[in-house]
Amino acid sequence: MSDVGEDRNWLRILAPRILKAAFWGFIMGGEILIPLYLMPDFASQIETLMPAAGTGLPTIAAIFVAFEVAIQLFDGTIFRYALSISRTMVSMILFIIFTNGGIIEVLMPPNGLPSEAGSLQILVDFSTILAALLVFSLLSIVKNILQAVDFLSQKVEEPVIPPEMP
Amino acid sequence: MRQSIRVLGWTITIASLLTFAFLGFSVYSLFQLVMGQGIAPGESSVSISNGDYVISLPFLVNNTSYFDITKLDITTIIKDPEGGVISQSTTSSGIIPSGSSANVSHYISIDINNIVEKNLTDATILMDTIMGLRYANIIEFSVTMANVSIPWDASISPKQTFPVSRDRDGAPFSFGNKTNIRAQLLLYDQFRVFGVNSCPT
Repeated sequence: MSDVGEDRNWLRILAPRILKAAFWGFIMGGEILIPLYLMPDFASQIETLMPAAGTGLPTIAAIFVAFEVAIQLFDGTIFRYALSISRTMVSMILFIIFTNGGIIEVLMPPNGLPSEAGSLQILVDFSTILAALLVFSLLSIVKNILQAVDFLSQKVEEPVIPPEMP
Repeated sequence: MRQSIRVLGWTITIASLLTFAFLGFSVYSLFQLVMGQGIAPGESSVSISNGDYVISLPFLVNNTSYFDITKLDITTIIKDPEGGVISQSTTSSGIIPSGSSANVSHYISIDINNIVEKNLTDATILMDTIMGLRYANIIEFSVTMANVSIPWDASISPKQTFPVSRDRDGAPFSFGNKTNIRAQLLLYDQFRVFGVNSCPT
């Protein structure tokens, strides 16, 4: 009987967390999958612009959803901050890889153009903006570290009741 | 401490959103400018001066976008069929503010000596065109058209045009000219061009 009661308690604790994790997982990456599945042609066109071909948008979305779900499930623990820092680092690396360091190059092969025309290359260099975004990401890591320190200091300051006290 | 962390968090979020918005807006505006005939080529003209075959390509840059064009560079590289560079010309413009227009003239100068030395008879020459612009002070954009084939009618090729004899060294000498430019070559030695006198028809 007590086991059933304990299970119910766990369910009461976990159910809202799982729901919250599912909601935030959807907000922080899951919704990207909807247009990708509704318009697969559009998704494949966007993927051709990405220098690191092979790892598609669904993979990136899945990574961010997984991080967000884990962060929400570990809410109230120190792991939340560790996961937040990891997510920021992963997003920084993905930013650099998928934008080729802020330089996107589209090369149209000659077979898509008239015979007398050669090849056409379009290049957009927004490395300055990428650098600004990376600085914001670093600030985000600093923020998470400060939050972790604050969390730990709160834990230390919590009143400890000696076990032998009634 | 908690308050300051919260402020830092909001600052990062707002700054990131503004940066993303600026990036999206400026790239959209840039593509509107490029695709919407914001940079339109004018009518080209050809002239010959000081032994150079000069092609003038005027461009009208109408900056209807939301940001300034900080720099505009046009580079053309003329190559022989084997890829050897015959001529390279670059034109740079100054700042073209948003809402204004500017005329940019690009001159492609081809040294006739170079063509004579390479013995280019009825051949196809290749041209690379690179148009680069710096937009909104931050974004660099460039379009490169490489290896565009241009038929060369060999109007000034040595075989077809001027049978040179040593007796004529240094003397004004006319040549078979297929272009609409009246020109006179000043020659010396075998097939070497000393200079060109020209006057457009």
